[in-house]
Amino acid sequence: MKLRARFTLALALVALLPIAVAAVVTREMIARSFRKEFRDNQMAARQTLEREVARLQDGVAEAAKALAGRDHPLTGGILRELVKSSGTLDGDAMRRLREQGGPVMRGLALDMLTVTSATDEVLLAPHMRAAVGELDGTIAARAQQTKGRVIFAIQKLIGTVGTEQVLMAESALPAVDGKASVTVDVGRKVTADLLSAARRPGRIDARIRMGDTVVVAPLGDWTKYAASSVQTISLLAADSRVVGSIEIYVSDGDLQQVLRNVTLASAVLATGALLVVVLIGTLVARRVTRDLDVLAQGSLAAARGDLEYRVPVRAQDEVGAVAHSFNFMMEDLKVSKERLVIAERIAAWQEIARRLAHEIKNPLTPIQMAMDTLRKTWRKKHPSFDEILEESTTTVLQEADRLKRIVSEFSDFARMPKPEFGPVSLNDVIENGLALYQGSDAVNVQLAELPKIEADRGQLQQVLLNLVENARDAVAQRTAKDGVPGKITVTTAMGASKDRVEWVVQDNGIGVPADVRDKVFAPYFSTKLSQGGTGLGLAIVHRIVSDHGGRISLSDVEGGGARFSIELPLRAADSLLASRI
Amino acid sequence: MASLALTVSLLPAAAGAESRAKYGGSLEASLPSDVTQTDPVMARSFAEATLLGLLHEGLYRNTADGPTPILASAAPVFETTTRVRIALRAGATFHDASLITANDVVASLERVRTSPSGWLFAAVSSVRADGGAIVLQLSQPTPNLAALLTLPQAAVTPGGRAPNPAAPIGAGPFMWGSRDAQRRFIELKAFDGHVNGRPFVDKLRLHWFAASDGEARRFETGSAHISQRGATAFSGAAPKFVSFNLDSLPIILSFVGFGQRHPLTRHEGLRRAINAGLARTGFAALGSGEKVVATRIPLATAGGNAVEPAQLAGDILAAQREFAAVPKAGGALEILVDASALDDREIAERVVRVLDKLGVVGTVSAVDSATFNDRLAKHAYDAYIGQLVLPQNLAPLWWTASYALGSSRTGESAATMAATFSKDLPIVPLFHRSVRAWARNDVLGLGFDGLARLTLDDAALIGVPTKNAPVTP
Repeated sequence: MKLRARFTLALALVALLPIAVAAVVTREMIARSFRKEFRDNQMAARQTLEREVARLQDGVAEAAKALAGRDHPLTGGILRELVKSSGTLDGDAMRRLREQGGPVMRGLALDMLTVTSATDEVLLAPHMRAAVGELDGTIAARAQQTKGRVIFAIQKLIGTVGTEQVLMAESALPAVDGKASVTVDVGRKVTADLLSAARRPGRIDARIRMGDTVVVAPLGDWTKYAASSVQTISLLAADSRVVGSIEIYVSDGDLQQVLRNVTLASAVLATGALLVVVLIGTLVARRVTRDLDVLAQGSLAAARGDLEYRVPVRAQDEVGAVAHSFNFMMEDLKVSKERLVIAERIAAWQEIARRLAHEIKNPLTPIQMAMDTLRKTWRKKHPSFDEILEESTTTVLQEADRLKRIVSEFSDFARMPKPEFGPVSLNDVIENGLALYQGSDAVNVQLAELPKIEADRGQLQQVLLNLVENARDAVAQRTAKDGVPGKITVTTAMGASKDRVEWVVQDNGIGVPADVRDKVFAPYFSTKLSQGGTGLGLAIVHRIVSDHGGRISLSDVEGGGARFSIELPLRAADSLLASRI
Repeated sequence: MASLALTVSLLPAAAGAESRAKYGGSLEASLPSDVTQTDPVMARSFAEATLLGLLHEGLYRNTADGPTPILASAAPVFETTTRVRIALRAGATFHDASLITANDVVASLERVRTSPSGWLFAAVSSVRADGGAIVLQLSQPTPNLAALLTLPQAAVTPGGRAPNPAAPIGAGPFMWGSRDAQRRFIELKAFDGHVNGRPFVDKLRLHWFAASDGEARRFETGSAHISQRGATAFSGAAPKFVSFNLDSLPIILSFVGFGQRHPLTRHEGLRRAINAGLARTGFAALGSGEKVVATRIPLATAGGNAVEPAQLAGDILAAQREFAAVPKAGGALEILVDASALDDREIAERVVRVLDKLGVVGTVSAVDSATFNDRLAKHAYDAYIGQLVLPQNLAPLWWTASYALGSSRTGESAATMAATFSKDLPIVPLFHRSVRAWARNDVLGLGFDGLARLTLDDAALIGVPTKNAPVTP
C-alpha cells in the first residue's frame, strides 16, 4: 500500500474512533432518557388500569351495599314478601320480581344480579332468568366468606351461541329483615371499557385474559409485542386464585425508533466526517508525499539514465534537504558519467585501435615479405624474377585490398547512425526480411500477435539479417561436419510484463564455445576470420539493440546450437537497461 | 253458543255501558305467538290451536257439557263397540258457501290419519260416508271418540284438502281476512253462515308481539280489548279502562321435544338427565299472572299433578348419574324455539343450563314461526320447546300424544304408556299453564273452551268502556 493511502487510512481511523465513541455515548444517553420515560409510561398505564379496576370494584361494592339494604325497594320488597309468605314466594310475587329486577339491574349498571333465598333458591336473576328456581349455595357461601369484598369470578351466561363464560367483578352480601333473609350477588362484566382509559393506539395496548382465553382482545397484534414489555394485573377470586388478568403492553417503539434515528444520524455523521477526513488526509498526504513522489520519479529517471532530471526544491525542511541532496547527487552522477563515458570511449577506441592495428598489421607482414623477396630476387637477378614479381605484387595487391576493406568497414562501423524511431511492426520486419531467403535454407517462423513498437525499421532489419546470416553459417558448418540438417527458428512473443517484446533467433549449428561467449558482441572478434569474417556483425547487432533500449543475450541450445534472445521495449523511452551509460 | 264461560263470576257489570250484546265492532285481541300455517292437521302450538278454532270447525266442540255437536247433528252412535255412526248437520257450509258434505268430513278425517297428527285416530280403521252420515270402523273400543273429534286437528276442510295458506277456507265462526307480518297481526272477519250463527263482532284482529311486555303495554293504553299477558306493563300502573280477568284451566303443556339428529338425544339417558336436572320451580315466574303448574308427566288433571316440591327442584347429581350411561358424542345440541313464543327462549335456556352442567354444549336457535314449523316438519332439530293442549283428564290421549311426539311407539295401551313414560321420556314435560285473560269492561261473552282457548266467537262489544281513575305516583 502506498504511503499516501496508508497515511489517509490512518487519519480516517484516528478520526473515526472519537466519532464512534461520541455516537455510542449519545445513543446510550438518549436510550437511558427514553427508558426512563418508558418505565414511567409503564407505571402510569398500570396505575391507570389499577384505578379502573378499583373503580369497577367500588361501583360493584356500592351497588351490592345499596341492594343489600332492607330499605332498597327491591330487596326490601323481597324480604317483606318472604315474611308474608313464610319464606316461599308465589308465582305472582316471582313475576313482580321479574318485572322489577331488570330495571333495577340496568339502573345500577350491573350485568348480573342474583338474589337467593335462605334456602339457596335463586329468586331473582334478571341477567339469567333461566336460573330462577335453581338451588345455588355458592352465593351465600361467598357472601359469608368475602363479606362484600369485590372479587372476580367466571360466570356462565347463555348467549346466542350457547353458554359463554364471562369474567365478572362480583360482590355478595346478605340482606336481613327480621325473620327473612336473602343474599344479594351483583356483578359487572370486565369489558373493554375497563381498558379504554389506558389504551393509546399504537403505544399502549391491553387485553383481558380468563385463563388461556382472551376475553377482551387487544387493539393490535399481541403476538408482535415483546413479552418483556408486558405487565400483568391479576384479578383474584374469593380464594385468592387468579381467575383473570389484565395484560398491559407499553410500546417502546418510540425508543427503538429514536435509537434507530440516532444510529442512522451517527452513521451519516461518521460517514461525512470520514469523507472529510479522507479528503483532508488525502490533501495532506498528497502534500507530504508530493516531494517524495518527485524524488521517486527522479530516482526512476536516474535509473533510466536521465541524469539531467532535477527535482524542485519547494521547502527548506527535511524533504527539501533530501531533494537538494538528490539534485546534487544527480549532478555528481552526471559529471561522473561524462567522465566515465570519456574514459570508456577512450578505452573503447584504444581497444578498437588495438584491434584495428592488429588487423592492419596482419596484411603488412605479407606485403613486407613480398617486397623483401622481390628486392632480393631483383638484386640477384633471379631467373624467375618475373614470376616472383608477379606473385609478390599479387600478394601486395591482395593485402592492400584487405587493408582497404578493413578501413572501409571500420569507417562504416564508426559512422553508424543513431536509430530513427517510428512505429514498427516487428513481425512485418521479420516476415519481410526472411522473404530474401525464400527458396534457400528454410527458416521456421513463429510469430505472436504483437503491438507496434517504437524502433528503427532498417536497423531492426539489419539485426535480423546479421543474426540469420550468423545462424546460416553455423548450421552450414554443422551440416558439413556432422551431416545434421540445419534448422533456424525465428520467434516473437509478448513479454510477461506486457511492456516489451521478445525476439529469438535460434539455430542448431555448431554453437558458440563457452570460452568465447562473452566476446562475441565485441568489435573485431570473430571465429570466422579465416572465412572472411570481420568480427563486426554481432557488435553491430548489440549496438542496435542497445540503441533501442533493449537487451540481447546468447545461450546454448540443447542438442547443439545457439540462441540469441532480444528484448525490445514497446516505447523507446522505456529502456530495459538499468543505465544507458 | 255453547262455549264454556269458566269465570263468569268475575265478569263485572259494565259501568255506563249496555249489558246486552249487540253485533258489530272490531275486537282487538292477541295470540301467544305467531301463526304461519292454517292447516289443522299440522297444528302444534297453542296459538295455532286458537286460530284454527276460529277458522275451522269439526264435528264436535269441547264445552262444559263435554263434546257438543257442531257439524254433527248429534252425539256419536255406537252401532257396535267398534262401529260408530255420526249424523251430519244439514245445511252447514264452508266460508265459500259450499255445502259441507259427508265426503268432506271423510276426506278430512282420512287426511288426519295419514298426517303427523295420525296418532289421534290410531284406533280408527276406516271412515266412510253413508248418506248424510259418516261411519267409523274402530280397531278397538274408543269411548272418547267424540272428545278426539273436538280437537283442532280433526277440523273439516273442503274436500279434506290442506287449506290455501294465503286464504284458508274453513267452516269456523271467522273467515280469513289478512295477515300483516310487519305489524304482527292476523285479521279475521265474521262468517255470517256459521252453523251456530254469526259472531257478534264484525272483525277480529289478533296480534302477536316481539317483546314480553308488548301485549300488556297495548292493553294498558286501551288499544286492545283483550290481553293474555297481563293488565299492565309497569308495576304500580293501571290500564286505561276498567278491566276484569278470567283464567282457563292449566292444560297447556310446555315440553322439551327431541329429534333423532343428534346421537345424544336418541338416548333416553339424556332425556332422563334433563328431566332430573331441570329446576321446575322457576317456571312459576313465567308468563304474566297465569297459573303455571310444574309437572313431570304430560297429563293435565283437574287436581293438578301434585309434583312433590323436592322433585321440582333440579337434582343435578341425579342428572349426572342418568347421563353417565349415555355414550358420549361431540357437537353442540341445538334447541329450536319459536321466537314469537315469548317464554320459550327462557325455557330453552334452562335446558341449556342443565346441559352445561352435564358437560354438553347447548345452543338456542330462536327462529321465526314459519322456519320453526318448517324445521319441525323436516325433523331438522336436536330438541325443541313445544306445546301440547288436550282436554283435561283425557289421560289416554295425553299419553298417546306424548309418545307420538317423541317416539315411534304406537298402539300400546294408555296404561302401558303411563307406566313406562318416566323411563322412556319421549318428551320432557315441564309445566302446564293456564291462560289469564284481561278484558276491558266493554267486552262481553268471554270464556274458555275445553282447550283453554278464549271463546272469541261469543265475544261482543257493548257500550263505552269505563276509564280507570288516574294513578297517582
